[in-house]
Amino acid sequence: MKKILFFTSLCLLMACRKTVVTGFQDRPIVESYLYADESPTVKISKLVPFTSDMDLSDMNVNKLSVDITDVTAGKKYALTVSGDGVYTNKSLTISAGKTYELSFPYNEMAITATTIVPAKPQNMKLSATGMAIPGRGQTGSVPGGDMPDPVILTWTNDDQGFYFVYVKNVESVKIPIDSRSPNGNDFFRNQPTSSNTYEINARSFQYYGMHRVILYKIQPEYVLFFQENSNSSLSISEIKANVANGLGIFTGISSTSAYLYVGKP
Amino acid sequence: MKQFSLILFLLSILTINLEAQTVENFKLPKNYSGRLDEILPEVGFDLNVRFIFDKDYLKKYSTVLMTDQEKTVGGMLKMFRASWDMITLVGNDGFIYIARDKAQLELLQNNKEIVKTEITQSRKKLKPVKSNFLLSGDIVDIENGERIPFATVVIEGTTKGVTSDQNGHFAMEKVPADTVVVVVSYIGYHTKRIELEPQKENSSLKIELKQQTVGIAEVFVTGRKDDKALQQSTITQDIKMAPVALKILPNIGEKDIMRGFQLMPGVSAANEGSAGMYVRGGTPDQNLILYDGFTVYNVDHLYGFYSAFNSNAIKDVQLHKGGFDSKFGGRLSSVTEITGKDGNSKKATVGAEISLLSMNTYIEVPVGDRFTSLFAFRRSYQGYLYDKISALNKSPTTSARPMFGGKSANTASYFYDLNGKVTFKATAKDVYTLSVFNGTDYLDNTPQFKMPEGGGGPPGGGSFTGNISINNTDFSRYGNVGASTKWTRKVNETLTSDLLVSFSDYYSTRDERRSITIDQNSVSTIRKSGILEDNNLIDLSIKNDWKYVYDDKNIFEFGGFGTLYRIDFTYQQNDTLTILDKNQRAAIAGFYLQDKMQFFNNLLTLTPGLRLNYFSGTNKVYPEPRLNASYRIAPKLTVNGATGLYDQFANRVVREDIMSGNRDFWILSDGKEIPVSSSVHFNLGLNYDLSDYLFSVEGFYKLNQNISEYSMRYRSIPQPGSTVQTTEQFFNGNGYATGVELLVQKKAGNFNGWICYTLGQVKNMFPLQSDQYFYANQDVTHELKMVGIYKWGNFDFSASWIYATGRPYTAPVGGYSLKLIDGTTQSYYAVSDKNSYRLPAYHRMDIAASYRFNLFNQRGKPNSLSFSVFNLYNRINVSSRQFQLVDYAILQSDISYLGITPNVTLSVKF
Repeated sequence: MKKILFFTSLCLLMACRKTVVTGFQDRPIVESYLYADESPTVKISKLVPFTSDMDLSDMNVNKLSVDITDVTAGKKYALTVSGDGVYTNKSLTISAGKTYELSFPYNEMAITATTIVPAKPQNMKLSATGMAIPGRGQTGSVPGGDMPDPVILTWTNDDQGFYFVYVKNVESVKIPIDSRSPNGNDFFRNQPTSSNTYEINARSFQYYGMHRVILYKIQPEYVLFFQENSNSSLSISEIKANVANGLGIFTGISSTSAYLYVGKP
Repeated sequence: MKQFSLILFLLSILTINLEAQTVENFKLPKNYSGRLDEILPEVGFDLNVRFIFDKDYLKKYSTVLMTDQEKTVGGMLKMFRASWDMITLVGNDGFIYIARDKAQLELLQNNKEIVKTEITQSRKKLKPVKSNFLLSGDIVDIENGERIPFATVVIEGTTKGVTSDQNGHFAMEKVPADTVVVVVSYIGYHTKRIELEPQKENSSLKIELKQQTVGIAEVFVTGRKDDKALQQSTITQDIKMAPVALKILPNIGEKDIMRGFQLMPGVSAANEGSAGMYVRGGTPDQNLILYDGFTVYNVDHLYGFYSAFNSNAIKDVQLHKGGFDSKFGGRLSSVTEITGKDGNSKKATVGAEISLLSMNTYIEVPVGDRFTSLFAFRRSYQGYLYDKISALNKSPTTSARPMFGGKSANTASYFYDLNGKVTFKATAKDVYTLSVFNGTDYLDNTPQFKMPEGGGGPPGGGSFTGNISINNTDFSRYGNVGASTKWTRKVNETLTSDLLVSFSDYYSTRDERRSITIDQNSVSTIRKSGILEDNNLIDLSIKNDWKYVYDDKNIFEFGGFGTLYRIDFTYQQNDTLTILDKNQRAAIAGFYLQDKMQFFNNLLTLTPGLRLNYFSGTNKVYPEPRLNASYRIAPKLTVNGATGLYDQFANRVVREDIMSGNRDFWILSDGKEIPVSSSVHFNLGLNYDLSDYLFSVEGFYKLNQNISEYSMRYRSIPQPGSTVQTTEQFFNGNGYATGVELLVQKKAGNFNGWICYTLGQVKNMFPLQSDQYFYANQDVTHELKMVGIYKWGNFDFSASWIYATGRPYTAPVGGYSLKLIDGTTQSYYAVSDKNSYRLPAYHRMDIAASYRFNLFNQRGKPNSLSFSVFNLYNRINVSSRQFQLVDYAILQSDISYLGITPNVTLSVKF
């Protein structure tokens, strides 16, 4: 009796089974940022397989038929390879506000990605053109003390789009603010935000001198790449942006910039 | 038959495991004198053992048994053999035989069953005074007066039986005659047989059961304890536990009720990092935990290695694995019903335990005849076990403590729990109880610095004059505090009511903030950075449960309930930026009704029920029909089944945090982003129950709908209008859990134990992620558990071995790098289909040895010294994997569970 029941139960169990195990799939990696008034560049590369038993296909990233279609104008442009999987077309100039589609075949799959090139950020303003920061690591200095107020960067963001601020020291000779750390990064950035303001904090600067403050307008598909990336099997995940049947990013970006001088008090 | 004038005294119907050493060590409680055939039944009654002999033979002998001479049963038997050349035998079947010679002994052994029937028949010849009457009573512990819940009461030789309620009260309608024998049994206690006397008025009975101080192991956990004589069918798929028996089993430093259940079929054992239970493919938050009536939302101590329940304060635990009664609701999977001890009503007792992990003390004080009280407190100390488990669970980022000014980080972490209960028996019909529980973990890795005023100066030296203090806070505090007051009213013997008002507060705070206070020139500046996360759930509930024994065919249970929820969750960065801020308020209210009906001479039991929930979060009513059934096919063969609909309104979700470790928080369904989840259960079980062995097969299928998974990342299209870091999303979908559980249990003998096997599958599908089913995180295909217990004198030895298929996980299949517009290069993964890989199989063996002893002329050997080894052969079990993309190669490393870990526990009772 028991055996019969057990067997029946097993059969019931098996009937419910829908096995889903997919092995490695060779998908191309796309890296392409479309800037208004520039020609497009698309870099295509291959995945690094996790184990040796995951075989990549013999697709050659330098022998692909890569096209970019100006969807708005309904015109297709073929890109040519310049080596290392980098494709360009100098005859195409990207325009803000237009929609572009990337397409190429790879392993009998159509790889496609669509993006809109945003207009330049509007009304970018800095609350000050300079900032006086006391040196650190020197006699009499206080960690975190006597810092000037932050400079406020503002812009118009009526449609609550995503923005990204990047500040870079443009001096050829770098004079560190903290004499104990002369090799810090000469740039800093924020996390993408859909706000219309950003506080440029004195503590973020590593060097004295002129800084270029770039405000990027970015598209939602690109925001995903700025998130923390898990390394644990408990929470590892794949970023699924806008490249269908592939990985990576094909996204429109626009920017505008201003300058900010950091000096001593 | 008539050639034997045998008299069999059945003082216990259940097979009590009596073996030579233990029975012979039983002390005679008093002096006896008279004819042997009269004395022995009395001894048997007092000690709850059975003697089998030929009455005609023994009535020739008379004696005086003095406790100071014979002392023990063994001494008594020895005296019989020496004085009268008798043959005595303590049989493996639990009977003590006394015979003239070998031939008579054999005769007695061969005819014990027939004789038993004859005796039962002979009682039937008594003339009853009453018939079809109501029998009711209360069941208590003879030693400490504790009311015994969920004990089984049956009429011997019939299929008629009831179970006592949570307060130890029972009522049985239409008892056929007042000459019947009532058999009362409860796990961990000696079964008691009460012969009703026809000449007496059968008023409400007070039945006192005696705890088994030996022979506990074989009845350790089972809802299907030997019903050969009880003839009580197995009607539900439940597991009962006697917390007192836990010390026999191996442990990781604490005897733990949740770990005990994990050794049984249907409760997954392969998760060291969760004290919460994965019952039949459900997650811990789908298991309703009721402690004296209030819901407990957090059961984890020390990263889940221990549960927050102190087994010294617990009287009874019932795990309803599925298809549970209409009385329970609000969870999809299962119910764990914990009843705290009332406290000794006869004398004050104090007990203490110390292990390598914690110190544990309890005190029971009765005040007058009506008040009892119990307080238990347990606190960990930062010894070898605590540090070992802490080290396993520290995330890489938190393990690197800052060093500053030559002072290293100062850590102070602990957990504690507190149980308190006061019971006031106001009248014979009214009992009031107040129960309080608090279990809290405090994990502090905070380093504290203060620079000396003036001359010290900041790093780098200098002539700064002022005072700087830096506080690098890094602590987590989480736990649950709850309280309930209950008024138990016995309106009459057949109608009882419990009115319960309760409060439960779950809290979880993580503070990883750094503040720098600078005092200079009389100006104080404070700068703060870091994160603060806080989740607080408050549950205010009222419940009124009624039980009405209508007749011998119908027992009604009905009642109403209401819960007010307040859940707040905030997640802040740098004191100013609030990333998540949730404030939820909702109410659940409703009522339930069920009728336990019996048909065909009690062979068939049907319990249809209905629970109606109104949930204000969605403003909808959720009806939940339920049905339980059992049928006794043959005296030892029972089939049971259950089905029902179950809804869940409060969910625990995991917020992934890569840098500091994942955090749980509770959240209510809103009907939109987080729908109310529901589950339909189908259970079927078959039990073949012999006197010494139990064979059981149970199957289940659960169809889960609208289950949610939370993610703060992995969003395909971020929504404008939010800061990107707050990107959060609930994936909703459906799934199922199914499986078969097999159990073979040897219930008696020096060597006993069980083997159980579970074949299971849990799959979900979230359409936003994929249109295919994937294995849920808790899916375990095969799970095999073996438990063996051997008793030798005052020693108990035990060993358990667990094997489980590795849990599914998602792995990278490849990696790639992108150059971002800020010029940096970041690595990303291409991952496999969700959970399409399996971790290596989990297995481990634990062993334990426990020695029971007396102190200060105590009786019953209440003290013990236990030694156990967890993970005996030091199996490296993998809990998760870490990946790293380095130079065009992906490196994999394993995070493992606890290795070999010995422990010693000393338990003393005064």
